[in-house]
Amino acid sequence: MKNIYKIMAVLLLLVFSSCSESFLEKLPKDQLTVSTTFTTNANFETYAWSLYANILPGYWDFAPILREMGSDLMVNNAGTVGHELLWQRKTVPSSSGLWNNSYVNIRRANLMLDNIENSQLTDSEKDHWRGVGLFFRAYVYVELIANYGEVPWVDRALTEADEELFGPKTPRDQLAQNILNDLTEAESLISPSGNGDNTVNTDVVRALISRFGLYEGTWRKYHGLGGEATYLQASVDAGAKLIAAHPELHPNYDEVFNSESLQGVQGVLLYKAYEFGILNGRWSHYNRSSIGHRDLTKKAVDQYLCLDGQTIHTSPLFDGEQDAYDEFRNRDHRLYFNTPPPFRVDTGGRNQLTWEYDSDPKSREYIDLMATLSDDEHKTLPTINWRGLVVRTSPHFRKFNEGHGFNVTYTGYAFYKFSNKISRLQNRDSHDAPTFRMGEVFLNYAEAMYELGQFTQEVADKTINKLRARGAVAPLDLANIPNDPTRDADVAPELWEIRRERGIEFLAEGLGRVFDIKRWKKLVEYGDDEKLGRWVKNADYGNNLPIQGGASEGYVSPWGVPPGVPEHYYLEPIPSDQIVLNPELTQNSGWE
Amino acid sequence: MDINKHNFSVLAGINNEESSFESFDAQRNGLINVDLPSLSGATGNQATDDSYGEWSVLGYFGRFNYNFDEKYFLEVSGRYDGSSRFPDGNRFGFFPSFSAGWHLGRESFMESLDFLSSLKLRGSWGEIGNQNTSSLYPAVPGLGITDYGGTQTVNWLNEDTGTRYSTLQLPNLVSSAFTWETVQTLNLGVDAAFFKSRLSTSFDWFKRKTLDMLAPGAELPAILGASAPLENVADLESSGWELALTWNDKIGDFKYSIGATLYDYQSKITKFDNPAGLLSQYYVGRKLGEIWGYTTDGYYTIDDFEPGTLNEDPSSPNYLTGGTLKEGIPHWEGRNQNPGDIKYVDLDGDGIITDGNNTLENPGDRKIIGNSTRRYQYGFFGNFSYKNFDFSFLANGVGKRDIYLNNRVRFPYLDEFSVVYKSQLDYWTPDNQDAFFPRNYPLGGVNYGISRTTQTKYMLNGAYLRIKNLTLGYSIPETILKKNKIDKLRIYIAGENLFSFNDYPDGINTELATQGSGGIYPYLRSYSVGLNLTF
Repeated sequence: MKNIYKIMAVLLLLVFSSCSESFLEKLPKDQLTVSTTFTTNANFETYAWSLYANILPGYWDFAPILREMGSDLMVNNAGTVGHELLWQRKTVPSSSGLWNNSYVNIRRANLMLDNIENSQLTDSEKDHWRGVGLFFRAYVYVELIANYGEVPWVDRALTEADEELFGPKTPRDQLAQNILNDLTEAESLISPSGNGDNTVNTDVVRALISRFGLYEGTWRKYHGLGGEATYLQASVDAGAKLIAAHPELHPNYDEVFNSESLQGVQGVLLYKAYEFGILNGRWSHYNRSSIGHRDLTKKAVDQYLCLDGQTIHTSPLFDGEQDAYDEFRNRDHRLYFNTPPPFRVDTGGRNQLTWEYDSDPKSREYIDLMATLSDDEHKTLPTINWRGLVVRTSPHFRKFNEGHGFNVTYTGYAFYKFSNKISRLQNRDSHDAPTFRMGEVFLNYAEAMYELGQFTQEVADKTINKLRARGAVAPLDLANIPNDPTRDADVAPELWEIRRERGIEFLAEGLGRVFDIKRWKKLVEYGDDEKLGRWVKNADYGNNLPIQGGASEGYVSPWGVPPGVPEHYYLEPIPSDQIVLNPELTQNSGWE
Repeated sequence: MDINKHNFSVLAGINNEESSFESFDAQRNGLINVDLPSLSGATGNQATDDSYGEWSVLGYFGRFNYNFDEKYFLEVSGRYDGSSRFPDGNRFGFFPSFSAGWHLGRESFMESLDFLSSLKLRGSWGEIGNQNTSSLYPAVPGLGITDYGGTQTVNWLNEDTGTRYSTLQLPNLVSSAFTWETVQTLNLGVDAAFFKSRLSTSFDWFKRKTLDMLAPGAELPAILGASAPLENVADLESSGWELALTWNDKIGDFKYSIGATLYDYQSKITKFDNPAGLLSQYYVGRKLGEIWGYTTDGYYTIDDFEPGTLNEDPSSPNYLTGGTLKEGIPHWEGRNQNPGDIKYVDLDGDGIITDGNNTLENPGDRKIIGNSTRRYQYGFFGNFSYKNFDFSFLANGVGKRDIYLNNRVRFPYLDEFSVVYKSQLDYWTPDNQDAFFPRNYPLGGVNYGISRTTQTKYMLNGAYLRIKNLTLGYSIPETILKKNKIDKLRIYIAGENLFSFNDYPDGINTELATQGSGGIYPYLRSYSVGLNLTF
């Protein structure tokens, strides 16, 4: 029995031995903690790359381009039903990646902002990183306000015990003011040269002010909220400074979207770089496959002017729309970069990498033209599929594909703004994506100036006419604006031309066309328009194409007449899980 | 230690484990000479990486055994365990256990029952600790370093080097108060053997409680921007039983033994902080494996639509679409239904098929329609020999299980990348309205997805029986072998996975936990012929 006592004694000794706790004290050696991260300038920079990587869009995620299918200018041609926004099929989601990811990214920015003060940074470094943090947080909130109208404002990294988690939505006035205040502060704090090439700097902050100021200002004006002048003026001020610093554009429109590198390209303020095999995009590859590409509508194509600056309805240069070759002649060159011009080549009926001219000389008109406007890495004709097989003709219809199912369209107008021939592998695009560029700033500035009643010929020359020159279109002369019979009655001719330019130059970029339509309060008005494609004689296509009204010739109509967009579709529904978790969070009206 | 009929034994000990690892790797592509691999003998970009980790546990344990006359048994034991994974102050947990047994068959009053060979009653209650976290440092809010070689998550390029930037991940929220999970088990059992031990049986019943399970402390609004920290907030309770029977006997030269086991359990959540009752999370009373789904009410038929509203031109791609449903016929929220789409029962009577707000209180038109837990798992075996021949078999299976498969093996043509298998040809068309599979659309779109959502009609019966092994052998008589100095020579033929009886689509492995996309490696059926030779 004595042994037992001995054993017990040893046991007790060990239990209370002081070494046990330190034996169990293990700290990670390959990860940092908050206190060891936010110390030096280099560490802040390392952390900040996660903001760039997670927040800024590029050529991988399709969400920004898919959203455009709800607009008047684009149609998803791989789909099987019309867009949910236009066909009354939107429902309240039980959870939302947009909502959740936005707040993860806000936390990412807030964590950095919360830890600047106690770091080892110099005062100027502190200013810079505060500016960077405020910029990225504002970037996320701009997306949130555009989608939901009102969301809770969170400006620090919350803990699980914070009561703010269960607070209500921040009123739009306050939310918008907070965003503008942050951006104004960021503009004054951030280093004018950022932290190196292609980083967020004063110009980039101003570009976001230009975007958000116009968005919020016009939303307020057209939705009758009032207070628009502050935001429009902020947009104008930021735009004016940017235009003074960057008055000229890169001369080639297509190269802004389809260049291997945007480094040093004039007018590109920030871009997402891609490198073959290291970081890949896929928009161009998808665009050249059998799915995943989109079409322009006839409305989108019709807005492109003729070279004389006149509309297709008023220009003597316009040769008519029934023949595709006529339709494309003498048009804004950007049309040829955004949708393939008509052509036909001979491949002996096979899917192959090489081609011959078609026997009909008419078929090569735009092949010859594009050889002068572009090159074989970009937009020469014929177009090719993702791995280089020759597309034999354009327009090329999904429902009459002549034996090759790739690069097909519903409307006859493939959208190929982001398409090029650089990479011929799946998901291995290496062309860079612009995230902020002067083309947008010109558009924002012109529109904001108009909304402030200050749009003049001088402003037009600095903005719209610079953009038009890139498409070889005659300048806009305010004294002699073409009388477009398709103009909305409630939109003044000058504003119509500004909006036209935006629809041509900026489609599927920035916040996107859907948000333009929403801020102009045109969603309901445009929403019940039938989305049409090009004019066809159905007999030429085996009577396979759906024609408007079931006619034998006329405009292709993929989905028919939509039922109309309900008024409450202007704002997205708040995901229902968030309302269940926080009853203070009220649903947007109409979605209850 | 024996004192009269009292038997004791005592054990005490310490266990102490420490693990640390370091790894370092360097890589360079583009060898100049593939036969002489070296970092300096290559031309490509160089990449290096390393990682470090450590953990330690420290435990003290003791056990006391006692029995009286080999009839009454008692064991008491305890552990005091500490782990480096838990935060200072919460590292240690104490886990006692007790068990007792009674060899009833050895009692004198049982001796008159001569069909009974032995009988033992057992009971135990005990706790063990569980460090249920895969992270080495779950208590440290670390900012993991990501780089290209690692996670490939940093989608921002350093144009100077042509590589992705390294950056830091957002740290998790951590609670300072979390510690061991406790698994508490109560087990009662009986072992009995009958007829001179020809029949041996055992039966166990258990109730296992997993207390203080690590789980997100509560479901929190997403504006937090992080997951709620893991805390010891959930309890899980499982109960079940197990029965085993074996029969051994011999009739002349024929020897055989056959046996069977049967096992069953169910688990449910008994504590969890989910006051909103979100179905995406555990809730109190949730049985593990439960399947929420819709109740199928057949197909929409032409009669469900207002006459004249459907496109009735058979040559049109839109044939039998575009109709207006009659008053009172429910439809999926935000969809225009067509004949051939699955119609669901409108359980909540609001005329629209929805998932409500995905809570217990409002699950929309869903209810619990099944459970994927494997119930009544069973096995059989048999060994038979007659003179020099022997034969054995092994079979196992599951008595009851529900499985919902929504993949390419189950449904025809989900998208443009899938095909239609022979077993899937019975799908709805205007000429085949009595089909098993619903109406499909170009690229598997339109309403095909909602026709395939989890529902009663396409629930599979997951029960199965598999004959895992059959072996037939023959041993050469020893009299022949002795001359050649061989002790034993047996030849046999065997088959693995010969038969399976189930309702699954062909090619699905019945034992895999999840069936994935259907594109999984199937069972191999194998046959073998062999010989065993002993010198």
